[in-house]
Amino acid sequence: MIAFEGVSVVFGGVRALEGVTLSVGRGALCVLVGPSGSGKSTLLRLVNRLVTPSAGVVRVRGEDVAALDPARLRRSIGYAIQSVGLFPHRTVAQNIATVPRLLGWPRARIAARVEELMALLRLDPALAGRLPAALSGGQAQRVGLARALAADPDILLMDEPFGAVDPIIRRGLRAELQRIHRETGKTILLVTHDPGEALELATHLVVLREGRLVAEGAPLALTEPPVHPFLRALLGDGELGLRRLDLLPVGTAAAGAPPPGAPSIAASASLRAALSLMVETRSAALAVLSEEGAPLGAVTLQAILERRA
Amino acid sequence: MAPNRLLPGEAIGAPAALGPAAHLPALLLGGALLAGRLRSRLAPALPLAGIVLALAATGLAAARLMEGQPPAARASLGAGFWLFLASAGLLALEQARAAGLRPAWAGLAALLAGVALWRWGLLDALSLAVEYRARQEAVQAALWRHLALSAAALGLALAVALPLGWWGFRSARAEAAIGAALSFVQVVPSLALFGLLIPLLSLLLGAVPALRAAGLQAIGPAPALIAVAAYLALPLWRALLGGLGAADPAAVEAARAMGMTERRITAEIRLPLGLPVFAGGLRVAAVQAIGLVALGGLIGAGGLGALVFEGMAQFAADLILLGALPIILLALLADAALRGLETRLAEGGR
Ligand SMILES: Nc1ncnc2c1ncn2[C@@H]1O[C@H](COP(=O)(O)OP(=O)(O)O)[C@@H](O)[C@H]1O
Ligand SMILES: [Mg+2]
Repeated sequence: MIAFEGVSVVFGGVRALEGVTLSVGRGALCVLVGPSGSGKSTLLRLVNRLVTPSAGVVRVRGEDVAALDPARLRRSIGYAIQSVGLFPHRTVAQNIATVPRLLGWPRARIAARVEELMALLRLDPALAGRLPAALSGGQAQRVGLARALAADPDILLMDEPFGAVDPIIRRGLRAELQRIHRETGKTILLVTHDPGEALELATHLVVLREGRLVAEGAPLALTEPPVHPFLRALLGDGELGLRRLDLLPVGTAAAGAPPPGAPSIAASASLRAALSLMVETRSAALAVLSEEGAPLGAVTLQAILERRA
Repeated sequence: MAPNRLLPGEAIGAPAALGPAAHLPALLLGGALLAGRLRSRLAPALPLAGIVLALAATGLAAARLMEGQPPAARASLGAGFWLFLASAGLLALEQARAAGLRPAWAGLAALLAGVALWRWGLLDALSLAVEYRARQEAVQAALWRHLALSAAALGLALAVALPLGWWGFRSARAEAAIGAALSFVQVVPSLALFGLLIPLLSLLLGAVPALRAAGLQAIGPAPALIAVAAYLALPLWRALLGGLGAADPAAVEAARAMGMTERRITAEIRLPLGLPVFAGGLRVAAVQAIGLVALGGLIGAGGLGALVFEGMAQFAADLILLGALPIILLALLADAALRGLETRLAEGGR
């Protein structure tokens, strides 16, 4: 869906990206991680031509973006940023309607779409006529996301979209994004500096360092030992094992029968939660239950230690 | 009190002219000071009433003094009266502000009261009114000419500043160059600029006779307009530049990323968000225009400034006032009107 072929970007004298080759498949939720200044935003902005490569080719849906009209390309790609950038003189509804209006949709269709999006992002319909100044931080981020989704683009670019909200709202927005991704199958490119968020959301993780691509792949494969030392440092040296267990559901490690009286845990919970429960209850085995409460077997401390991708 | 409009007169003290009523305006002023302490919303009404009363009383006193005097005799207002007027005016404005009222309303109230007194003929005997009656048509013509010249200079400056503003916004180097050029104009003393333009224009007219045929002249309104516009260009240009850059960069970036063209971003994002800043620059420029056009009177551009300079040449204080008072009023009115526009735009953008 999106391909970077030997792309370099130079700003004045600063090398922002150097020889990046990367392919992002249709329907992927590709998360870019890396220290600040490593070129994540630049990589994202190449896709909708906000940045022009000094060398190499960027392809979107198979076409070289350099050959496309920038305004039309941008209208076909959703874009959400940390600072949101809502238009302060336009109402929430008008903000959300930006791209459909640029595309010349009929008024009735725009109104229906705005209503639909506000429901999708759980925004109170009463907010439609308000100006952005009246919104809370979390509401503004949702409106920004709704604006990015308005014309139903098949590609979504998000640059730290949950950066400016508190952890609880952040968790809610993250779940919202996963739901939208699951339900719509959009290709999403997302920048974050939160390693936990990256591992939780990504189907495809891309690690950047000083403008170069260091590692890429599925989070489970990337956290399989031996882990690249740079990624290890990025994810937090002392937490790598736990972060990996976070990615694995209990159901994948269930086997045999639990000892009588063992505490129980849902099959959809993570192995990290299982380990935590073991430590908390001082038991080396847990009973695994399905969603409906049917017994599925046992998960043991030994099974957690031996679990591979 | 003077035998005619040119000779110095004899001073007549307020108590002698007005009798016991002379103390009333002063009492009102004192009362106003007290009321100001109490933060009453009516506080500004007291100094305003003081002004009206003082005007009416002096007008009546002048009428009594002038009875039986030859027609050339004049009764003018002394320095003490103007001092009283200025302090009472300041007090009224200050109290209006403290009471949370728009100071412009206090000004408007004073103006309306003054006009009413004038209409009822209470002020007819004062020398200023006598002078006005003698030159009514000239003063009115000068007023309109002054307004027309100010508007034309403002229009000319806008026509120059608009493209320069856009250019400076797009290029940092152009911004530096334009800023330096326009600031240089500000450093040239205004009279020197007026003077300089006359020979320059005559050179130009000599070289291009077609311009003379088009009605351009080296002396009169043309150099005045050009010089005033040159001064106004800087505040207007600054305001345009500031207004274009006033929009939140994140909003501009978002607009671009949504697929708005540069033209659309300017029309739909930058201009609406910059309007309060433009309006501020327009206000400064309009007030400056009214003041600077007055200087155009020196080089034959006409307008209220010409009355002032004529009055100076004749040592006729009333004639000077007849030119200067409307200039001040016009400037205050323009300031108040455009300030209102500015606030409204700023509130609309929230
Ligand atoms: N428009 C720009 N002009 C000049 N330098 C830039 C510009 N955008 C980014 N850079 C530089 O490129 C490098 C990568 O920036 P960026 O992609 O924003 O990193 P990240 O998003 O990972 O923090 C940084 O050194 C940054 O200073
Ligand atoms: Mg960034």
